[in-house]
Amino acid sequence: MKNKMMRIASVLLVATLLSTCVISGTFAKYVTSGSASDSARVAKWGVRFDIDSDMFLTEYEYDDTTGGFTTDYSVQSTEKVVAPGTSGDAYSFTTTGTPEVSYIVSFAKTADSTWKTIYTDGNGLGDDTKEYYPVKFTITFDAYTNSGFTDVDDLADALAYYKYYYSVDEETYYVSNDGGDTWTEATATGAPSMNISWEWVYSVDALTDTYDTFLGDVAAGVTDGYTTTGLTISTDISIDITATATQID
Amino acid sequence: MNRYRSVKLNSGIRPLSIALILLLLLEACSVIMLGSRLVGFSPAAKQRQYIPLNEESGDTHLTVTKKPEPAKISASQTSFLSGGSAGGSGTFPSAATGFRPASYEHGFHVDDEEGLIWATDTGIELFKFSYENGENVCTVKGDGSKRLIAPGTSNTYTFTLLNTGTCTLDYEMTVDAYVTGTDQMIPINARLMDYTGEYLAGTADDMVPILDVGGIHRSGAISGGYIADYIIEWEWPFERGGEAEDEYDTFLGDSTLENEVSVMIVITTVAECNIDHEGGEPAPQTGDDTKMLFWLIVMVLTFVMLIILLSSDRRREEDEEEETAITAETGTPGGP
Repeated sequence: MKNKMMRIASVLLVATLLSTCVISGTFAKYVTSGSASDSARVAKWGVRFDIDSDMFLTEYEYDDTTGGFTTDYSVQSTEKVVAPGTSGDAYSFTTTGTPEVSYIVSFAKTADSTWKTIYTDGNGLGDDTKEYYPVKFTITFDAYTNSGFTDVDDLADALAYYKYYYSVDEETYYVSNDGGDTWTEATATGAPSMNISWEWVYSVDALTDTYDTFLGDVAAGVTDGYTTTGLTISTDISIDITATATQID
Repeated sequence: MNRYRSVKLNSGIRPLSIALILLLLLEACSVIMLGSRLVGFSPAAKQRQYIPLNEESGDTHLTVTKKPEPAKISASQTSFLSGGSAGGSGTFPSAATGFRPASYEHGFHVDDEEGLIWATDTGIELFKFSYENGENVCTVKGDGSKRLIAPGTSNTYTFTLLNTGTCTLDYEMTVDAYVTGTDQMIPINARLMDYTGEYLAGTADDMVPILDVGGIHRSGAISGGYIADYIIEWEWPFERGGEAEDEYDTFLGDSTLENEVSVMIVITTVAECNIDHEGGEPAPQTGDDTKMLFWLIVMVLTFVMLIILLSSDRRREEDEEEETAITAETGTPGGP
């Protein structure tokens, strides 16, 4: 009798539990849920300029093998100097990095660059008032070459016309030499490079030799024999150029 | 001695009888309730109910922009509703086969302008893999593995809550925002607007930092056949001020090279039939939450009763064994 009632009780208990589950589960509420998400990462930038700005040197190697001289250097000083027959690469800009945005690179003079030598007749240097700029600059940008710049301001103005941009979807560089009015695909593989070189020609003619000698004497503080009163003479040369990469909006 | 035995037997049978009666009553109640619910969901009951498409009133005022007719629901929507709608009944008329509770058509989903229907953790296009400016010049583009953000980028995303059924739905929509990879500020601003033009975050003129959009919670109701649009806009201004801001933007773009700086938005919606909603349809009697406590008490009681029965039975067996031992020693049943 006892066992029979226990069995019945157990069966009823299980049945009750099942019924409860059925009622609460079968007729669960209508509940619909949905969720959505999205995330994004900050686009990579990482553009850097590889700049070689050893524009001028303290010494220049002697490379003329025709004279039979044994000197190693044609010019040597404790300071960075220029002299007839010297030359060098002023600046070299190359961008590095693989950004995920399009960007444009432009160049500009950012500081007051000076290179002025003015002297007048009376020193046996010529008949007229004359400005003399012995150092000549050349711009080489992708396939473009522009040379003969003697005034640093002119050089800076010319630099402003050279630009290039990177098209992130095409992964292609485009260059312009007219300030961005027209663009052509860069010929170089990778980022275009901007190079500014300079040269002080060793000898052009007898007159320029005289000019060169005059500048050398003034730099040495030896001005006897010259009339320098009223002249603005500068023997220093400096250039500050900045390349800027800006994301395209 | 026999009297002693009969007393022990009666004390075991009495609670057992009570438990049996109680369980029988409970089982009867369960069966009756089950039957009543099934009768309530019969097709005949459905025919008697008319469910109007009425504009919602109350805290949430819906702008009626579309009144979808069930018959015009596309095949894809039908498929989703009948198979993928969590908790849904799959009762769309176009679902020709299968069991149809029929009288209550619970249909709810969220989609966007691209027709993407949200399921669980659906990937949406709030951010993009690439961006173009007004001159159709691509300004931002990655390798396609990650959506990106950058100065000058922006986007607008519209999502729509659709009550394609006839049951008035109470819904909740929450937005969460996260920034990973940095504890610094990300200069992305955003705003969230609902279908009435009310800004839940930001204003018509100003946006708020995107993290402020996180935590937005909106509750409302949608009548059958009605929809509710939400628009979320974000932007990373290209020009935010001066050089310091530009430097900070550049810092973020550089730092993500080593440690990815990301922003994440999660939008969650939950909708359920509102059986008591005024002006709405008489939604089906669903669930049993109001009686769950009762059932739990019953379960506990039955367990307790069962344990009592088992313990009393064990006690009787011990008594019997003890009595048997005494009888064996004295030769007299029941002991001295």
